Amino acid sequence: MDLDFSPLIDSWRFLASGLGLTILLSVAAVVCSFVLGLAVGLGRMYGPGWLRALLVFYIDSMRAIPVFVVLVWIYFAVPIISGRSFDPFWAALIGITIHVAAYVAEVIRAGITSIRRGQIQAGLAIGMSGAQIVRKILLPQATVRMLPAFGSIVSVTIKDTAIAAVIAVPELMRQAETVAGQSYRPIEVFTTVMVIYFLVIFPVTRLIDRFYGRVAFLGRS
Amino acid sequence: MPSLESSVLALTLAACIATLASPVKADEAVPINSPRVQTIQKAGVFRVGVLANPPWLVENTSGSGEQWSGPGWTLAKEYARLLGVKLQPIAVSHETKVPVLASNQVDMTISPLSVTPERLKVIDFITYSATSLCVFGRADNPKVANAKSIDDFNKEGVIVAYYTGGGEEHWVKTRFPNATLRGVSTAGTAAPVEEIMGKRADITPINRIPWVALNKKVKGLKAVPESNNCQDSKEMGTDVGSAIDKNQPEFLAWLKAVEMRMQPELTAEEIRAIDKM
Repeated sequence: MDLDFSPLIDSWRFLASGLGLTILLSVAAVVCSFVLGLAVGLGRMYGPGWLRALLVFYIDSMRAIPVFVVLVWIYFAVPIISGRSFDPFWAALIGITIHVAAYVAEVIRAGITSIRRGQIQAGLAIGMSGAQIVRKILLPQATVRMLPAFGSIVSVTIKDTAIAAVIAVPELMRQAETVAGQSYRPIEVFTTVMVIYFLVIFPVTRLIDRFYGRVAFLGRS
Repeated sequence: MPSLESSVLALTLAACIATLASPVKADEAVPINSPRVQTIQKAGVFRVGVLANPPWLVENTSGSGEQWSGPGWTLAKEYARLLGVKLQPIAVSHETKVPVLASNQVDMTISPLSVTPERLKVIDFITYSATSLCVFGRADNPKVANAKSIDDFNKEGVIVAYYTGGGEEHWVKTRFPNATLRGVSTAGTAAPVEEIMGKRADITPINRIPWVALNKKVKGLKAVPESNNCQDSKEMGTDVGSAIDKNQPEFLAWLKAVEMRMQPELTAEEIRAIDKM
C-alpha cells in the first residue's frame, strides 16, 4: 500500500487551526448544553403544567430529530426567517446545544428521581424550602450519580462537532476534507484525523470515569 | 504666435499619444440600479462562498500566504475592486454551496460549479472554463484493464460510484443504465477515490482536469478514455464557473461582461494551476 503522509505535514498548521476550533466548539457546546439542560430538566420536574408540557415536547422532538438536520435547519431557516446572515460557527453551537441539552435534561431528571424520597421528606421536616432541598440535598447527590452519563454526553458532543463540517464550520473534519480533496490522500488524512479525535476524547472520558470512581460514595443515599 | 488651428492640432496629437502610451483599463460600468449591487455597496463587502476545487479555486493549507487563489478567486477580486468593496470569503460545503445563494448568506458562490439542467433552474452561472468527464478505476481490475471505451462499463456486474448531488450524478444515471450504481456522500475529494481503492466500486467519474493531479498522486489507476491521459474526453462536456441567485438580470449582465474581459487572464491562470497540480 502506497501511503504518503507528507500532505499532512505540509498542512499541519491548517489542521491545527481546525483542531483548535473543534475544541472551542466542543467546550462551548458542552457548557451551554449543560446550562440549558439543567434549566430544562428542573423546569420539567418542578415547573407549572403548561411549562412541563412544552419542555416534554422540546425534549422528545430533539431526541427524534438527527443533529445533522437540526444544524442544517438552523443554518438555512434562521436567516430566511430573521433576514439576518448567520455565521456557521454560531449555527453549529446553537444547533448542538439545543440538541444535546435535551439529553442532559433527561439525565438530570433521572439523577434527581433516583434519590430516595425519604431525603426530600427529611428536608421538609426540618423546614427547608423546595428550592433549598433541590440545591442542598438532591443536586449534590444526583450530580455524582449522573457523572457516567455526563461523560458519555461530553464525548458525543465532541464527536457531534464533526457534523458541523456540513455547514462549513472550519473545524478539524472540514479542514481534513480540504486537505484530502487537494492531496488525493483520503486514507492518510482521515486515519490521522481519527487518531486525533481519539487522543482528544479518550482522556476526557477516562478522566470523568476516574473522577467518578473517587467520588461515587458521595452519591449513595 | 502659434495659430489657434495649430494649437488645437498639437493638443489633439498630444492626447492621442498619451492615450496610446498608457493602456487604459476599460472597467465595465457598475449597474447601480441593481438591488444586489446596492446591498453590496451599502454593506461594504462582497460575500463569496468558497470551497476548494482545484484548479479553479485553490485553498492554501500551508498556514502562510494568501488563503485563496485560482481563476475563480481572481475574478472575484476583480468584481470587488470594481464595486469598491472588500472581498469576504465565506466557507461553504458541497451541501450548502447552492442553497446559500437563495438564503442570501453569500452574494455569489465562487466554488466552481458545473452547469447542469437542475442547477440552471435555481441559479445563474458566470462561466469561465469548460471541462468534461473521464471514468477511472484500479488498473489491476480486469474490468478496467480490458476496457477500451466508456461503453464497456455499461453492463451488469459493473459497479459505478458517484457523489450524490454532484454534477456527474445525472450523467452516471443516464450513461450507465445497465450497471449497478452506488451513490456516496462527498468526502471532499474530486471523486470518491476511496470507493475505488476499497474495491467497493469498479469505476467512478472524475472531471478530466483533477484527473491529471490524481493520476500523479495516486498510483495504480487507469482512466478511460485513455487518449492524451483522458484530456480529449468529450463525455458530458460542461461549462464551469461561479453562480448567483436567480432574478438578478442587471447584476448578471455586468458580471458576465467583466468575465469576458478577464477571460484570457483566467484561462492563463487555469493552465498555470493545472501545471502545478
